[in-house]
Amino acid sequence: MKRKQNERITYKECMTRQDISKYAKAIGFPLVAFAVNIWTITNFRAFGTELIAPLSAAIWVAGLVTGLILPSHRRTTLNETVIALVGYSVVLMGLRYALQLISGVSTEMLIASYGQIISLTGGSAVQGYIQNILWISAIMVPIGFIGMQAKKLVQFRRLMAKNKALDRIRSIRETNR
Amino acid sequence: MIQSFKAYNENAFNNLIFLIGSNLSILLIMLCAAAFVFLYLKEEVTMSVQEEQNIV
Repeated sequence: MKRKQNERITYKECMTRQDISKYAKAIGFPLVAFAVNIWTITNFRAFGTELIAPLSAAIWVAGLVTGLILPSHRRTTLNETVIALVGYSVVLMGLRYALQLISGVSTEMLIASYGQIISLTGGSAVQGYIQNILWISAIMVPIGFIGMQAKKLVQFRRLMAKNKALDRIRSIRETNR
Repeated sequence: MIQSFKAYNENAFNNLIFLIGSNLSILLIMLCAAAFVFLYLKEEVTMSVQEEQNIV
């Protein structure tokens, strides 16, 4: 009883539903990106573990490093990284599905479906095109993302240097020193 | 059914352990994902402060 009297009476705001959803999103976004990424890597077997895994890791690291160096841009950088990773994985899996669909198609079937005579190598050429797109997107998307983050870092440094120089000039002008 | 569910999950977990052990990139991805969760949570904690004040 004595302890109860001494205890401070405080008004404490409880966690609202919005707070809970915010925390759920904060944990859910990266976990979804991770799950989709691992799913893509395991589905692609050797292509996944040898090529997609290191390049995905490069995207993760680029996003993390930029987020750590620029705390003011952290939220946008993290969101960009998660969206880029999910997009990358979904595009690769989509191309894999397209390749799966087209793998059984022969030139005769293409001729029948177009109603137009095409060269006899047409059937295998389509698979080649899709594989080209697959390779290009598997390599170029991470390179593009890393370039974007590097540009962001360089631009931020330049802006900081410019602001610093302007502040210096302003202080000289105002204090005459 | 429960046994097959258990076996499925054990298999998935063992596969994940194998992937991590055989490929360093996947380990890096896992670490980065954990760091992302931490940074996202840190952003939320610094953004919303629980209000607490004395009444009397």
